[in-house]
Amino acid sequence: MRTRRIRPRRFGQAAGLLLGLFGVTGIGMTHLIFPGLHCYACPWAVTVCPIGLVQNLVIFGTVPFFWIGAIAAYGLLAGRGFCGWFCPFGTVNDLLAFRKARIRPPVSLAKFAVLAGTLVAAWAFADTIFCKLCPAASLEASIPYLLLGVAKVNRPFLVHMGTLAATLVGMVVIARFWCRYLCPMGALLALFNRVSFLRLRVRSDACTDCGNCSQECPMGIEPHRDHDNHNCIKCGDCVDACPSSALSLGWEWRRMR
Amino acid sequence: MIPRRILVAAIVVLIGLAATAQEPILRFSVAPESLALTPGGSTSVTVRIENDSIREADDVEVAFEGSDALSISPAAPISVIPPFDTARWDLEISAANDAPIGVSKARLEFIYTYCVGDLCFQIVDGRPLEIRIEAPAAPAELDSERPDPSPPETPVSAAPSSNPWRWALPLMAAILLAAVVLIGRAAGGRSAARALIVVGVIGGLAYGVALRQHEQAQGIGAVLCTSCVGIEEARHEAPRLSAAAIDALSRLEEHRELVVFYAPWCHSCPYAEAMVEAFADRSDRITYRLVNVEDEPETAKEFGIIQSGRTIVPATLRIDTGEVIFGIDDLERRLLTLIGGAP
Repeated sequence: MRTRRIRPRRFGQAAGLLLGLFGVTGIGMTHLIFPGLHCYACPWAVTVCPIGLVQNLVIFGTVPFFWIGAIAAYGLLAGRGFCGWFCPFGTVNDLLAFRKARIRPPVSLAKFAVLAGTLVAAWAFADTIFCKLCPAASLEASIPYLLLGVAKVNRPFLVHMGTLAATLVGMVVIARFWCRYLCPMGALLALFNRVSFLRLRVRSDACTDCGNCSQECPMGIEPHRDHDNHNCIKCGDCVDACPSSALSLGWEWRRMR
Repeated sequence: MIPRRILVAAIVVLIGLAATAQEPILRFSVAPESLALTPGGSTSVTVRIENDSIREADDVEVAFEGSDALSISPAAPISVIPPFDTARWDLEISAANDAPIGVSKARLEFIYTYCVGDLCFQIVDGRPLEIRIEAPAAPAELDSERPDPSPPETPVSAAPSSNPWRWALPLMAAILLAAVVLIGRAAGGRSAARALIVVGVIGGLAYGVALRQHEQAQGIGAVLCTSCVGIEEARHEAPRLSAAAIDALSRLEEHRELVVFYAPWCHSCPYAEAMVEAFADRSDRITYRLVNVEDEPETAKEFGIIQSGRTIVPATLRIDTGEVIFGIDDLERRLLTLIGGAP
């Protein structure tokens, strides 16, 4: 039962990783905005990081029509499903998800503050402040460029390594730590979670309230009670854990009451 | 839920507040700040302007705010003050024949603009002046006994002029957040929210593509500014050459042609440009030119300013050997090595 869900998700995550590193083919940067957190400064990136891009657009004073359209499209399609099924940094979170602690709702709102702070800092300082701290950039740009001889071990590099180390420790202590509490891209997609076509559904008549789904949820929510939670990354672990098949994950293209 | 509404409101307020954040980039110093004049007389005042930022200041103008009995000689506007550069005005302040005796508060008001990408700000700055109008016969000792006849200081708004586009982004963010969070939360409102988002997707992508924003996105992704993602630290001060570098440059015998590749939004680039300019100022054997990689991507490709598929800026190229150095870390030493003038 469990393997049925894991396999397609691993394929999705592999596809996200493949797209993230497709630059090894030499095709160069495309016009595509990545539906997750993936640094465009990565030597092999072929897509633009939505958070890096929007900071630049804020600095330029450009009203980001194209960016809004792309983010809204991703959000409408799957909401935070991209966090669970596609985002390479989410995959790193998954690899270190040993401890599935319960989420603390007030703290989980911190990612919205990170998103707001990212935009405010870009505007106030006319600089991509978040990128200088982003652990995804640490992993995908700072370390590769150090190996390529472009970057050096200097203060910005050490700051990057510090944020990466802190985030990795957080991921080990709390499953999906970055996705739960800090990811600004997760915050953006979370806005669309309740209206996205990829949905987690619960049949309350079949639910026995056993709590298995809550035990398995890497985001620490209670899917049988709050399947519309903005933190739900739609990974489907709860669906596999449900003994009474009360939970299901699927596309909802029709109008739903 | 109240916390979520507060959060949305807080985000909108924060973004709105940020929209008002504009930093002055020029420093003005006025000497002397206290002047003494007799009715019908005049005196000079020097305004020194320092641009200690990486941005170019444009259309710098000065205006005089003060008593009608005082006037200032016309000062030609300065069209451009480049990053790290300085400029000065020598102004003549005159008092009318019937200027009242006493201390008058006045103010020099400076207006200029600077741009960050497509977004330009107008900054109004000012410095106070204390102007003492003295009677020709018995000047100083009587001043303290006389009431101050000068009008109260006119409050001058330092707020930059409004740019309607500045509010477009906060407004759109507010509408988007309100639509998705509030409509999406309402029971039965999901279809309406989806319809609204579909309109946003189609409209945003279509209008964005029409404005060529997809190309802008690609350009931002394709050019890597070393300080923007924290590969190195941007330096916002004017470069000062060491004595060893000056000596090495004075001994340079062969001609060196350099090209500095930059992007207008790159934070490290002005320092690299200024350093190469300082080299060229010290040695007439060095010539250089600047290439904006956004305008001339083919030139960057031709000279190999590409590392792992990214155009990295700032990059300094020595034409005859094709050697390139990236970034600004330890730039003086690396530049000396590049031109073959390392001590």
